[in-house]
Amino acid sequence: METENKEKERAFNIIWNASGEYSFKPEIEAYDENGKADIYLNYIIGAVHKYYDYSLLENFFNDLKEDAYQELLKSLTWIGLENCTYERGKVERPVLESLRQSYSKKILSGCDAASTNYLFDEIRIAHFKKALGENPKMTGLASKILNELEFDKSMSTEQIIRRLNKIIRVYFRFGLIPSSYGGKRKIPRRRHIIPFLRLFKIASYKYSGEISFKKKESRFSKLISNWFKLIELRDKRQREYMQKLYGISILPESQTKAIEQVLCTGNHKNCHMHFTCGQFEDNIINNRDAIYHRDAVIRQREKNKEHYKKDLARNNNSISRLTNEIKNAILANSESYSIRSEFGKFMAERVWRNFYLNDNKIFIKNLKDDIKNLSVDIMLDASSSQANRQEIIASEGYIIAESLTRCRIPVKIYSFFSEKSYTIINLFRDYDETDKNDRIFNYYSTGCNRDGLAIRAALHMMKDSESEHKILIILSDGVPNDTQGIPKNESSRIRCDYIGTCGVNDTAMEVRKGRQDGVSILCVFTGLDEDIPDARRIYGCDLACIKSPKRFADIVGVLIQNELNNM
Amino acid sequence: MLDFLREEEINENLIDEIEQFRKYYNVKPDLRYRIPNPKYNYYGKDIWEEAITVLLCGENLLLVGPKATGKNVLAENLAAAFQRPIWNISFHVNTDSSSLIGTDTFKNGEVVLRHGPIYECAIYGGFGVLDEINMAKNESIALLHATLDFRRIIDIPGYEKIPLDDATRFIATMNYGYAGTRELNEALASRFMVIQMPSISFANLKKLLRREFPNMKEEYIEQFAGLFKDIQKKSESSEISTKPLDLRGLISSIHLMDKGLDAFKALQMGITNKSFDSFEQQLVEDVIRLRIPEKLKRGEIFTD
Repeated sequence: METENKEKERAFNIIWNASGEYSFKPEIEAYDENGKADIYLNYIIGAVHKYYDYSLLENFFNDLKEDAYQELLKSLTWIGLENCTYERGKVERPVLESLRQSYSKKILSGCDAASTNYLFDEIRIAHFKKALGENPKMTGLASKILNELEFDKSMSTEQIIRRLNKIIRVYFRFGLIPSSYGGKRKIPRRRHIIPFLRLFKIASYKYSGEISFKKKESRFSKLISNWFKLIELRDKRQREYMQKLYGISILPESQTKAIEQVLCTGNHKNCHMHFTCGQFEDNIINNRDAIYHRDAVIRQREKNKEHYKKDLARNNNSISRLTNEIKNAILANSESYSIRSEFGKFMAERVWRNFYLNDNKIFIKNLKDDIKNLSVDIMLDASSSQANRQEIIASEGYIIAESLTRCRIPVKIYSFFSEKSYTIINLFRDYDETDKNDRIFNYYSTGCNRDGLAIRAALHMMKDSESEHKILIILSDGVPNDTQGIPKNESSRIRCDYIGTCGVNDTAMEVRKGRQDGVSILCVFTGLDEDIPDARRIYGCDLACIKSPKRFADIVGVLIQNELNNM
Repeated sequence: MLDFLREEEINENLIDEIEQFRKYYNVKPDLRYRIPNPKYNYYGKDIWEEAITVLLCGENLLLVGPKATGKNVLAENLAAAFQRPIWNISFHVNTDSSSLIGTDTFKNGEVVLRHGPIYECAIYGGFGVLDEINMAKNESIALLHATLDFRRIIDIPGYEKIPLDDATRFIATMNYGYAGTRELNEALASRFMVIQMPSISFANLKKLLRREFPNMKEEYIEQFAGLFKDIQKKSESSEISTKPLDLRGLISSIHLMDKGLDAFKALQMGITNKSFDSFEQQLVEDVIRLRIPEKLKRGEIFTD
C-alpha cells in the first residue's frame, strides 16, 4: 500500500516536471509491469499538458466514454500523442531519444509480434519498432491507421482532434473492422455532454423571529425607546436561538457582551459572538432545528471517527513522527549553559588563576536559550465550504493536538463558523484537558466563515494563556465568506461583502496584528489549489499545503519546528 | 572585475565612479589579502547596478532571497569590484554584540578589549558581510544600530567611541521565502537598502556554466541549466525540500564529470544525496533522468 502510494506520487512528480506546471492533478499515470512509475510514459503525459491544450483532449476523452471501443481508441490516441510529443520534446531534452529507445525495447520484449491478434497490439508494436528504426511488417489496415495516427509535431490540438475524429469515422464504423479484431460498435457516439450544473451552497437564514410594530406611537421618544426595546428583544431572541441550536454559552451573557464590545468593532461592527462547547440544552425536544443539528453533529462525529480509524496505522505513525519532530526541536532549543572562556564576562575571583596558573580562562560566557514556555491554540474552520473535507480536517486536527499533548505542550482546540451576525466559537478542549483530544471529532461544519473576527477572537482568548510563546494554528481553506458585509468606511452605511478581496484583506490584517503582538500564526491549508494564492496573501510564508495525507506530519512538523527555532 | 562589469554592460558612469572610489580609498598593504578574488561571478545587470549605486551612496545593503540566488556571491563580487578588504561574519542564535564588536579579555595581567570583526571592519574601511543576519536574536545585535545608521559610530561601554572609516560598508544577507523563516525587526531593516534577489535566470545560468566550463558542449550547458530549473520548480511547488536545490553542488558535480566520473554518479553526490530522504532522492533522480542520459561519458559532455 505504502509503496503503491509512493509510486503514484512519483508518477505525479514526473508528470508535473514534464509539464512545468504543478497546479493540476493528473488524471492518468503510467506504471511498468512491476508497478513502478514509468519515467518515459509519464513524461509524455506531462509534456502533452505542456504542448497541447489538455482541456480539449479531455473533452475528447470524455466523449469517448460513450463509445464501445473507448479503451482501444484511447490507447490509440496516446500512441499518436506519444509520437508528436516526443518529436517536440526531444528538441528541449535530447535525453528523450535514449529513453524512448529503451522504452520501445521494453515494450517489444514483452510481446510476441507474430502471435498478436489485435489491431491495437499490431499498431503499437509497429509504432515502437519504427521508433527503433526498424521497418515493421503490417497489414494494410494497421499500416493505414498508424500512418494517420503518427501526428506531425507541427499539428495543433484542434488539428489532432480533427484527425482523431476522422480516424474514428473512417476506420471504426460499423462493419469496417474485421471480426478478428474484436466486435462491432454498439452505441453511436454521443457528441455532447450536458454541463454539470454547479450547485452553490448558500447559508440559510433559519431564524424567523417575529418582530413587527404592533401599533404606531404618536410620540417620537416612545418610538425611540420602543425601537431600542425591540432591538434588545431581537438580540435576546437571536442569542437564545443560537444557544438552542449550537449549544449553551460557556460565558454569562454579560461577559459575552463585554467581549463583543472589545472584538466586534471596526470591520466587525454589529457582529456578535457566541462561545460554546457544544453542549445542548436539555429541553430541545420542541425545537426541530436544534434536534436536527444535534443529530447531524452526532452522525458527523461517527463519520469523523470512522475516517480516522480507517487509516489508524498511518495516523498513529503521523502522530509519533510529529511528536518526535517537535520533541527534537524543543530539545535542540532548550539548552542553556555557561562555559569558562578567554573572553566574555569578567570573573574577578578567578584572576589569581591567570597569575599563578597561567590560565587565561577567567571569563564566563553564557550560551543561553530559554526553555520553551509555549502554548498552542488550534482553530478549525467549520464553515460549510469544508463540508466535503470534514473527516480529513478532524483527523488532521486530532493528529496535531495529540502530538503536542504528548510533548506536554498545552493545547486549546476550537472551531469557528458564522451564522447571521453571529460568529460561533465551539470549544473542544482547553489547555488543561489533556485527555479530551478526541472531542475534536465533534467537529461539524455549517454556515459561513468570518475568518477575521474568528482570528481576532482567538487572539483575544490567547491573552489568557500565561505562556511566553504562543502559537495559533489555523486549519482553513483561506476563503473568508460571510453574509454580513463590512462598512466601506467609518461613516458610510455602504457595505462591501465579506468575500473575495474584501474578506481576504480583513483576515490578512488580523493575522498581521496578531503577529505584531508576538503570536506566531500558522495555517494548515485545507482547501482547493486555486485558493492557495489567497491563503498566501493572508498567512504569508507560514502556510502548509498538504498535497497528500502521508506527508502531513512532515510538513506540519517542519512548520512547527521552524516556529520553535525562531523563538 | 571591472572588465567583467563592462562585459555585462553595466552603466559606464557607475564603473567610472567605482574607479574613483578605488583611487580615493587606499587599502593598507597588510590587509590586501582580505580583498576577495571571487571564484564565481554574479550575473544580473539590474541587481548589479542597484547594488553599486547603493554602496556608492554610502548606504548599507541587505540582500534578501531564497537559497541559491547568489547572495554571498554578489557580496563578494561587490567587495572585489570596489577592491575593499572583506570581513565575513556568520550570524546565529548566540551571536551577541560582544562577539561582533569586541569583548573583554585578559592580556599581560590587564583587561583589554579584544576586537571583534565588526570593529576591525569599521576602522579599516572594509566591507562587512553579515551573513544570515536574521538568524541572530534581534535584541542582541541592537548595539549595531548606531554603527549601521547615519551616526556611523561604534560606542562600547567602558571604552572610547570610534567613528567608522568612510569606506566602510555593510552587506547583510538573509534567507527568506520559505515557511518559518525568521523576520528581521523594523529597526534593523530600516538601516539597510533592501534588494530582493531573484533566482538566477535561465540565460544567466547558462552564462555562468559557460564561463565555468568553457569546454562544455552547448547542448549540455542547456541540459544542466534546465536540470537546475526543473529542480527549482519542484522545490518551489514544495514537492521536495530545498536541499537538492544546490547550484554549488551542480557545479561541483560537473567538475567531477570533467575529471572522468560518470555523469549520473557525479550528480548523485552533488545533488541527489543532498537530501537524506530516500523518496525525495527518487524524485530528484527522476528529474535527472529526464535530462541526462544514464550512461553519459565525459567525451559526450566536453569538447576536448
